[in-house]
Amino acid sequence: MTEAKKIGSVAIIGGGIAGIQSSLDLADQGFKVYLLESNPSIGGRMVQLDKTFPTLDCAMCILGPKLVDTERHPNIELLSYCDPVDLQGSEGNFTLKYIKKARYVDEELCTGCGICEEKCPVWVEDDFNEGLTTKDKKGREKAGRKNISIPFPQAVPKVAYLQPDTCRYFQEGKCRICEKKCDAGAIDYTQKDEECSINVGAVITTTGFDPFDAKEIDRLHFGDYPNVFTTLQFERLLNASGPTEGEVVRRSDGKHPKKIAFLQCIGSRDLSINKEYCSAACCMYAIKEAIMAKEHDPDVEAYIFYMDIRAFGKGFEEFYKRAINEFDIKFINSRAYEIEENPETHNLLLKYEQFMDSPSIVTAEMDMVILSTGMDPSSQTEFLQERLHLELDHNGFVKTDPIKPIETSVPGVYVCGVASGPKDIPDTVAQASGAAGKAAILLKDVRGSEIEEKKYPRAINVDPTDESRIGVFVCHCGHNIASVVDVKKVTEYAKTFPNVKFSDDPMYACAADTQLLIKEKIKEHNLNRIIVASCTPRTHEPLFRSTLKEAGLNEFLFELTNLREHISWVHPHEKGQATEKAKDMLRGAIARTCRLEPLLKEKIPIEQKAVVVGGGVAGMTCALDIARGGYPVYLIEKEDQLGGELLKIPRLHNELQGEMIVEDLVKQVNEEENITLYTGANLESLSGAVGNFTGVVNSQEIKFGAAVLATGAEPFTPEGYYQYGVDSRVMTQREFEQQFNETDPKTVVMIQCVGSREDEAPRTYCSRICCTTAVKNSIRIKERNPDANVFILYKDIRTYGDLEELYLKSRQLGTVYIGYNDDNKPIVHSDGSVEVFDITLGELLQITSPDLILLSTPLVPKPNEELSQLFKVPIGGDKFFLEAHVKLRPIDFATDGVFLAGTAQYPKFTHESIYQASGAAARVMALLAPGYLLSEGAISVVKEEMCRGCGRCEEICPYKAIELHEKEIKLETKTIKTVKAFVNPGVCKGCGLCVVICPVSAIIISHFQNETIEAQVDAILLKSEPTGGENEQPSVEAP
Amino acid sequence: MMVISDQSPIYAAVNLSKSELKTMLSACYQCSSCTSVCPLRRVSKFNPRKIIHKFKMDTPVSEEDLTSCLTCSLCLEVCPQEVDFPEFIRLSRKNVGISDDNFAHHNIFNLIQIFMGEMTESGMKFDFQGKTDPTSNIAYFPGCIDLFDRFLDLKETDFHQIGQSAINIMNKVGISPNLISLKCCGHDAYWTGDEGAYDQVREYNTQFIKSSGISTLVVSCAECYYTFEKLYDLDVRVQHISQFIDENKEKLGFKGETYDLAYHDACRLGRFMKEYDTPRNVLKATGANIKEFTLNKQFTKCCGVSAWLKCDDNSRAIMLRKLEETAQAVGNEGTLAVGCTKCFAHLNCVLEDRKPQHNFQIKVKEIGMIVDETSSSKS
Repeated sequence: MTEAKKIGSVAIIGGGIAGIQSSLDLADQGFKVYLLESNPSIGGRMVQLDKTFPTLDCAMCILGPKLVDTERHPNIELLSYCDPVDLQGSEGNFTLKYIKKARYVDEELCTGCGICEEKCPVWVEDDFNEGLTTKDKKGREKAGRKNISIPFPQAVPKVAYLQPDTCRYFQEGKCRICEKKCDAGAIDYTQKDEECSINVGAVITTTGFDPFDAKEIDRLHFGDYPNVFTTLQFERLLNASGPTEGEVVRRSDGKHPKKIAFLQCIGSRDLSINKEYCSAACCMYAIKEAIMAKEHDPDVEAYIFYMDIRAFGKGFEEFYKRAINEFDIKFINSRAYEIEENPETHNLLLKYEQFMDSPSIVTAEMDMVILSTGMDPSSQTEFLQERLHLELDHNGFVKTDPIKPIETSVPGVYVCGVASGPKDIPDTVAQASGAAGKAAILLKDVRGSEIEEKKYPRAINVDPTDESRIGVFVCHCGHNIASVVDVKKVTEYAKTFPNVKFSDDPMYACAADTQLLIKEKIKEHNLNRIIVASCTPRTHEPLFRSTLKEAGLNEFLFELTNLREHISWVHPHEKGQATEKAKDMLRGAIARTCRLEPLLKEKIPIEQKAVVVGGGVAGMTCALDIARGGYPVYLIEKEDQLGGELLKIPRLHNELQGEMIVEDLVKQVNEEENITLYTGANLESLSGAVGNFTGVVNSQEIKFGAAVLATGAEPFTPEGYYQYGVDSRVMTQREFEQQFNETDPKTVVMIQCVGSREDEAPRTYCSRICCTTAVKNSIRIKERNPDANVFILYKDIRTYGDLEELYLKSRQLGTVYIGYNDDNKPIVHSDGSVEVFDITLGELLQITSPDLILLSTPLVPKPNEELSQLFKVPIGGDKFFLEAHVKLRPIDFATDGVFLAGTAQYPKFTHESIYQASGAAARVMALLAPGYLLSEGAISVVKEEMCRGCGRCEEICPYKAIELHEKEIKLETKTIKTVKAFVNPGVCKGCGLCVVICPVSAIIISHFQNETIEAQVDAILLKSEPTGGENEQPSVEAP
Repeated sequence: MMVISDQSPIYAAVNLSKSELKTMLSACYQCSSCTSVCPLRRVSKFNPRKIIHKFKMDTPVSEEDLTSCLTCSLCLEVCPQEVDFPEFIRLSRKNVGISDDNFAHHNIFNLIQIFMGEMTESGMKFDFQGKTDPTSNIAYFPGCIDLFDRFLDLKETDFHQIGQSAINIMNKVGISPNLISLKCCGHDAYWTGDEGAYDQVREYNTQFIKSSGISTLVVSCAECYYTFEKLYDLDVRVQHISQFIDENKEKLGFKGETYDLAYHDACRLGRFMKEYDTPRNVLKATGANIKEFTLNKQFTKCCGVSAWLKCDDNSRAIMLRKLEETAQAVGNEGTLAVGCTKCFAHLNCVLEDRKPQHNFQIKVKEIGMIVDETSSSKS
């Protein structure tokens, strides 16, 4: 049998943040991507969130741009509202069958105007808002969703869908209101579910999770007591676009709650409902929601009932401390089991045991109770098992191997995100990039084979001095704009300007027929500039720009005026004035447009090679992935030997041996032709920027386009803590592991958080892995000698995800866990006895004569200052490298072309380092694949003769796009040495900070030059008349 | 200060090793669900969470704690790690034994149980009106009701009526039961850790039931029901009286007048046997409008005493709380239905205390009694 031909496309099943990240990373590399999403819109769970921890970024604001990028990417085909049904074939060549569910709305015709939704008479439960409804002041139910609707305002695709089961027409045979009202003619009651199939080379499953159904637990009375909510519902209550417009109100009486309780571990860490694992994110989102509740109403008292606060990620512990110190959130270490409702006030009575400060059973009366529901495997996981034949683990998540954390049991099918186990957003994003990388490596020989680069006609030469011939298109947007703004009047107004050679008022400017119209009119009227007055450039500018390109016009000769978000949506009750404002805006746009200049997006060739600094497990994995993706890699390791810290860990928590993992990787590195290895070497110097770096290693010059920093971390040496170095019985966990076979202790005391979670920087952070290390070592001790006594003194046990199962195993083997807090830290006496105040007992304990006292110390970063300066990348307060964005860009630096992986970013487990390294490799491949960088077009330009080389622009540039260069300038009589600022067009994003900071106005930003903006403002304020270029006569003032 | 050293007291294990008992508790992660719901914790310092934690560190359970626990199993019901604390207590009692002065009522019921085990025959003689038939394959066992009448010295409580009602009901549906004379089921011996006494009655009863040729054994007491069904290995069908009634309720001719009623889920019938709906269905059939407690079914709080251990002020406080709950549900003169002879005994006992202890005028009735009263069929 001959091997089936490989196909250069990838199917991604699941359109949440994981699927979106994988799609973008693959599409950027030139692979065709089919993104399947079961729901009508992509976005997954993240779009339902109000804010994200620990930065409190607005979730939609950081995800929205990614949604739009996904929709607009030429290599991504969105298959929304589609369910996969079958997969045949093998690695490299699969056939995926799926059902395209009937929306009863034609996706091509629907413009997302929302008129159908407005007119539909049937209200149904709003799943996007988690079924929430609220009552208004008159007691009427508010919110819910119409039976035909766009799932949420930022939905992608922004297309309505209709549910026939609750539709009047489908059920009763009459109504058809939506059909009558839809001007686009998009309603199609005859649509049927359609079976389709696609050929793909690889599949990535990112099916995410379903929130645990709190109705499964009777005692919570969820759905029964009106003021009991889930955390996801609370996100919707907090959200300004939620059913209450961001007002936190009780369901029973619409009043603002003053006392809110969060109950943790609902559907997690509970054997009695068969959920052994920890859901890993709930502690943090509860803290976030408590803080947000406080921000909404400072009088709120928020209580979090917990067993262990699992703040194990970057910035999490600090966030937790802020919640306590800054926001006065009350953390109560007790599981409040009983919830009773006062039937009159609908307040909720919680009973819990107070451990400390007069131990008693306390009854707390709350206005609202929020259930921190855990993550269940997605209902689609079953399909993955049955039809894709993926092996699942005992919890129902997709099973992976710790050293192949992205690969499933089926070759060519990869997994990322919560589909393979509970994780938070940054881990999901890193893993999603990794999955994209794995698919790219598999299909590298057929990269680009399934996509067609769009060819545009040669652009018409438009000289700035040419007469401006503007076409204006004023959009009705169905009723969105036209119901407020008199669109006809605005269109007529446009015609009064001499430079406007054509104007029209299409029903939908974004519709396909309007694009044809625009192209036609450009030809017919010889137009050289276009204005569309419709909606936001964020979503629609790329579409119109591409229409201009198709018509042979430079894409920068376009202006979008926002009549919808800026006018009709904000002034619905001031119709006359709204029309006047629209005219003002249009007048400004005309003034601006007359001054627009054609700009070129420059293709800058790059060096398709990479450097990886650090030869530990992350560095080697990353180098191997990049090399296998087809790009040469220089792997630089400071030590004489590859392997890093893993070499020093004889046995991991998953029974693997560090040395074996390293040995295997080293063998692969040595066999990989694309890797040039430097051991005992440092990157000595570096110049250049993204795409074109030049460095020196071992006095040898190397050129490369991208770099990954994977310099790792090492255990903290606890000098001065707990008799370390004084008493030979006191040692670190790492030291114990290395002499495990030579010891046989009868009594062991382990102390957690030694040198971490401290009050003072830099080690305020939680080191993530030490709890599991202690748990692991307790198991090893007890398995070797069941009679040994092991005591673990801890603050919170942070065995997140399925690590919780190890914690259970350790307890089952008889390890005793003793909680302590910062007010009463354990004491190791000089005779070796350990004293600890047990917070759960409220008693002082003394453990006499332990044989060993093991200190669990954090991982601390290697000294990274030199690399930080070389690559111009920042180091955080914790001394780890600081990524571009802790949530959505966990493996990128803000500096283009430089990425990070492994424990150089933050302490993490080996399997996490591996998937993060694969993720960094994918980011590198996505950058290197095209062979060039495309400049932004609208970028900063230095007027060299005015620059005095002060360097302020270089300092302020967030993208490190500006460098100072020495330059000799020949003047009339002599030559002088000067320093001039130089903008790297491949790096500049056109943000304009340098323009503002420059003290001598030596920097301008093309497309947004001062005079262009001034002309626009003046025209709006009617200070001057909107005119054409400098050589033109002023036009008449508009009537 | 609690000192943990090599010299720590080793638990005086008789049958089970210390480590085996520890294993039972090992999964505990100190969340405190058990203690927050424990009815005894509400009135005392009794703290299952601390008992567990301390036991893991070699501190034996104090005699006070060992004899106080109600083994009502609410803690197991709420435990996210499925730690079987009641079973731990039972095994610990078995290991160390319980001294006689911990039993209420001069230890009389405990002693009777032991004597009964030693005797060659049951010694239980029943005297009921109505039709019985020693050849019937449906048997009825009234349990210890006559002993309670004799030794509890309650003026207004008629335990005998529980058995009489059951026989009346069986007659009304056309059955003349085989009134079987078993020994005590041994529930209390089992739960106080006296497995020797328990085994003696169990062996006798098992043998007796086998040789009697019956196919169904109906009992009125929740403890009998749980013990025969769950602990014994019988090849007959064991039915609680409510289950028997439920199957025959069409023949009972209920008048259908509605009335308010509270219902208390006995731990042995509810949490131990998961029988929540049948008693309710039966009571509803009689016309009862059941006013549920806020904490009902699996979350029901214990009546206050278990296995005749320690009836003290703590027990009384729990019982009074139950009456208060009842008064809230059905008023101070309302009726509380129970499916367990023991709940019936304890709650009626505290009701007879009267002033100055409380002013409750509540009536506590056993399910069979209510059914018999409301049924219009003739025997």
